[in-house]
Amino acid sequence: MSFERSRQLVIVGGGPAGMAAAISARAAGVEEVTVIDERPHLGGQIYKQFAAGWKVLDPRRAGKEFVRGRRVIEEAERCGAEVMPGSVVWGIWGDRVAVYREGGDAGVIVAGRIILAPGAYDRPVAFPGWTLPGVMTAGGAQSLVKAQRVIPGRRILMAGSGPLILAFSAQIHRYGANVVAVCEAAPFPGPRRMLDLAAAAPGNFDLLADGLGYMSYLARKRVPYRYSHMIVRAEGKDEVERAVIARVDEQWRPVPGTEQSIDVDTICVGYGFFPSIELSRVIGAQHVYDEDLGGHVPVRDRWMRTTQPGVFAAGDGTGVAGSHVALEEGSIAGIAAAMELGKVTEAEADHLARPKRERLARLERFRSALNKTYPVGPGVYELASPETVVCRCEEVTAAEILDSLVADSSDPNGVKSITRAGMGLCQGRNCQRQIAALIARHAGKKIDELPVFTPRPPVKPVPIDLIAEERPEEAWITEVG
Amino acid sequence: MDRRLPTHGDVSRGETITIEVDGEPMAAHLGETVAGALMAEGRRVFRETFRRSRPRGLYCGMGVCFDCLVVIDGQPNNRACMTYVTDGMKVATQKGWGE
Repeated sequence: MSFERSRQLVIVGGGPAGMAAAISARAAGVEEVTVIDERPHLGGQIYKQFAAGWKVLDPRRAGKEFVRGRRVIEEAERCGAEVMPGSVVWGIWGDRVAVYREGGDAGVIVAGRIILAPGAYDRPVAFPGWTLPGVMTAGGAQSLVKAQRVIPGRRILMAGSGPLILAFSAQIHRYGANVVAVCEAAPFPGPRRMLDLAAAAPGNFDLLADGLGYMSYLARKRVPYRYSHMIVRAEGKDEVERAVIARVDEQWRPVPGTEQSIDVDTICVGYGFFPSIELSRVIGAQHVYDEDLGGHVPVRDRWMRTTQPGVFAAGDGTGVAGSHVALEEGSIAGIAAAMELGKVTEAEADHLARPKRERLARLERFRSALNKTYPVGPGVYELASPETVVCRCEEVTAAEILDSLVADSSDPNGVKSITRAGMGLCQGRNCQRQIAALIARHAGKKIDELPVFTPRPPVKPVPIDLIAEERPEEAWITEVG
Repeated sequence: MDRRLPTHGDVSRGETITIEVDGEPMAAHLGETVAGALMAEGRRVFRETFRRSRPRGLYCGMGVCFDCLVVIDGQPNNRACMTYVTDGMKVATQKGWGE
């Protein structure tokens, strides 16, 4: 029921970054490469494939991303890397990677080098009614419509900010979903922002063209695009029956008296993404805070090395920048791992990485122009009322969180132990930052001045008897004495 | 009630199977997740929470939030968004921790 083996390189995550890392590491001469992913297939979220049972009749009509993804997936499958699908990495101790395979067995892979490519998830935004069935993430809705061809409801409000709420709205409408309106929290980008974007466009024409294409599509279909508007409340008894939206200022704070009720049964929320940093935190790598990259992100050098020796990180899990960036970063991490494993010299690695670095620099220009157009407003953290459940898993309200603050403490860990907020099955992924924001506002501090939840394995729920049986940390503890 | 979209010839759905939802037979297609099959029939309430007995459904759709928990073949706490339907599968909406 349990295994222990060694591999030269273990890659956590089979999305764009993880696949690119496997391909480039194999090409640079690393013999033993293992890619571990929770899903049944390579591809991650963006390149999610149709599950077994579906027939793809015409791949070109299944979309540009699908075709691009198919190409990378096929290359990754052919590159000679081992793939462990349906598997969760629930902890890392030194070079010991603890894996649980769905269906029962579990074990440890002792890794020469580790590349973390865990990806990202939709930024959770607590507002009154956000736990009602019918409120879902924009990413979740897009995946339901695209990969399952099922609509989440009959009348859909899209609410969020940035290029993805635009893309997702146009995409699901094109598949046949009824998008009633799109709320963009940011103001209409004025001429200056437009010029910034245009200036960063050379070499990024396809990205800019995609955006303009989505905009003109929604305009043609007469889907109202409401700039400077946010969802402030979802109403309904057991499911969403109405959405209340409001005009917001530049800080994303609702302007009093501008509330408006819209008759919808579904609200898709997409204010960007949070990187999955559970594993980079568990290994003790250093992080910095950048709101526009999605929050705390691991510090890396030009070879994608974290501050923890032997561990690299690439893709959206290191700061949300999209699949194009993830592919280049993953490639560089794979080359760098090969270099550290002695398969290529530093000069050879530099030569291999150069074109990827050039593409990254070009993409970076475009991304920073986009971030300036769609900065995250602090109002995103202020929508919950005292009665709003902030920790979805343990059903802890904003008021309960603030009431639990002892004296002048502003440590979210104290809140966690008193209220259980952040101790549920999602392990704080949905509430941690929102709790920190609540406390920060209460204490008159900045979010990044507050301590974060102490990361502890398992980073994803696994059967408790497996952990008890495995004790992957024991060998490590003996080693380091 | 069907909320499945026409596929426009780019893909085709898997064969039709029958699952059981809270004791009632329900049609589904191979290749659909439990969440997809339930949403397709307009069933959006998947469970009732343990503390406040409030309805919950599909939220993140990618295995992160653990809000879409259902009982499958007698086993509670399965993520409907990460579990694929099989013929004869018994799905039940979950109350609390389902025990």
